[in-house]
Amino acid sequence: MQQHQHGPNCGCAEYMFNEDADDLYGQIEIDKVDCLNETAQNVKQIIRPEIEKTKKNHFVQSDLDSEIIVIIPFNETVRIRQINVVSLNEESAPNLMKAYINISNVDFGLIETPCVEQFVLSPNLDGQFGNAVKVSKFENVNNLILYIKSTVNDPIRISYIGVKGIRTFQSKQLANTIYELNPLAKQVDPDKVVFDSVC
Amino acid sequence: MPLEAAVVVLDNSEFSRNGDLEPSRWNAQQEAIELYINVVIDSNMESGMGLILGGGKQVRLLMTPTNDRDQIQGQFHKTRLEGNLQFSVALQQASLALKHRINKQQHQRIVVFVASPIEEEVDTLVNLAKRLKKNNIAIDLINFGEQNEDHLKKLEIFFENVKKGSTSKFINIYPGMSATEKLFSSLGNSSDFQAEPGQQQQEQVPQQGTGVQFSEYGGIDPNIDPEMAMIMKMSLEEEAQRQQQQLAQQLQQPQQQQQQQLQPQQQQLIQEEKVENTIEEDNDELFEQARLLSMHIEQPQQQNQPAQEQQKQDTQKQLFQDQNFLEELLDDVNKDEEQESLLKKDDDKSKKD
Repeated sequence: MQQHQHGPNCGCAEYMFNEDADDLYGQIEIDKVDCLNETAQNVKQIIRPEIEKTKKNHFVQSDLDSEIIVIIPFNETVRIRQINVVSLNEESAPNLMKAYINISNVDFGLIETPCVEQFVLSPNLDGQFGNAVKVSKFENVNNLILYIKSTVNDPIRISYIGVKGIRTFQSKQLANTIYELNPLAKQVDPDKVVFDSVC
Repeated sequence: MPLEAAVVVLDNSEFSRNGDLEPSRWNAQQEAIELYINVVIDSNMESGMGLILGGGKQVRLLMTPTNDRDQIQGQFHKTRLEGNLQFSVALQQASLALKHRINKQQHQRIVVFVASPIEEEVDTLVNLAKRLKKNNIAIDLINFGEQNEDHLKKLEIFFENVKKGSTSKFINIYPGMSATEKLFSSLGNSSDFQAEPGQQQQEQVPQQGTGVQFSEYGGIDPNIDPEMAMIMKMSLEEEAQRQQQQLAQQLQQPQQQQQQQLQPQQQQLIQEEKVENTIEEDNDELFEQARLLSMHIEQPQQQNQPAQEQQKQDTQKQLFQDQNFLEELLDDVNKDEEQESLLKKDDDKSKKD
């Protein structure tokens, strides 16, 4: 049977909106990527450019049970189109993912709150099957939190996580403001001032 | 100064009546709390500290995380020493208290004071540790006095599994040493906790309990104080070279072969010596040296014996000089009377030889 090739007219949900989506690897702040419940502190090694998505030499393994939370901060606001999770092998593949955006101080209590979107994951060992997201919900993302788990496999091992989307080239910065104690008002023409009475 | 919610688990079991930490382990815990109050609450207005009593029939939550220090200090009047420490239950209650903290922005930390043997098995401890790590809770594990090997091993395994990054600490306080001094130096050296500017910051070589860290830098963490670390390293190296030359000059010609064999070992021994300050270690090292000396004798022993004894004496003297050198260098204020008397005893011993 011929493998289905995605193209602009194939109508697959995974491919729609993805023609203009770029790999957002460059916008991820790799130093601040964090992972909860991993055995070794190597989550930074599974964030790679898309070209290297099939490499299996690094992976993140869940520690206590079969769920992990990966926190991915971006250095600018992005619009996410697709999230790609590649597992190391079939025996340790996750089957469920919940995504949250723009949350600080993450811990496992977060799961009890409603997620932005929930996905069903397939083993995806070669990285071809990326999960398309509901575009409107992922418009202004500074921080992506992924809760990944398996209901059947224990532990789970992830070898690559990739995010595709569109850059906005806007970043959150501290506003440069000047505070004035005595604001200097312009000279006001008393005839042109309109007084509103408040009853 | 991080924004933190720290819950302190106190050990109010009967073991805390023990007087090996003067005046008692319970008092040592109280002083330690004072220290932690300063560090946590004074460093950040919004940080909070809570209290849990881990001993007795039931583990009790005395105080949810609060930034009111008077309330915390007032809780001590309500406490009694009774029962045994319920380690895992106390920690679970602490993590629950943290989970329900009002300000979710605060980082979670549990400070555990252990003054009694832990009843739980290693497996339970590992499981508990992984659960705490999973919830991103930093743990400060402080052992007051109990030096049983199994107990220390359990604590170490627990700590290995719970630590994430460098924010968790394991501090072991031996009987006889001052708890607050030890704690202060450990907390002062960490980048998380910084001492108040008003308090004196003692630059001490970290004591044996935390293990010999950064020994080639003389105990100073190069990440925190790079200049000091480099100065210490250079001084230690110079001292090693000086001693090497001294040894070379003192021994006579026919013994040079033997001496060359000994030098790398002595050098190694001397370098280790420089970092360890305790007197008991000194004696062990001397025995080690004597043993090595006796092992390497191939030539007739009679000639070499007086020279060896002289060598032993010399190295002893050098070792003590080392200590003085180190103390000088660091402006060490840590001169216990006990240590001084022990020092004098050993000096007399070597002179008799």
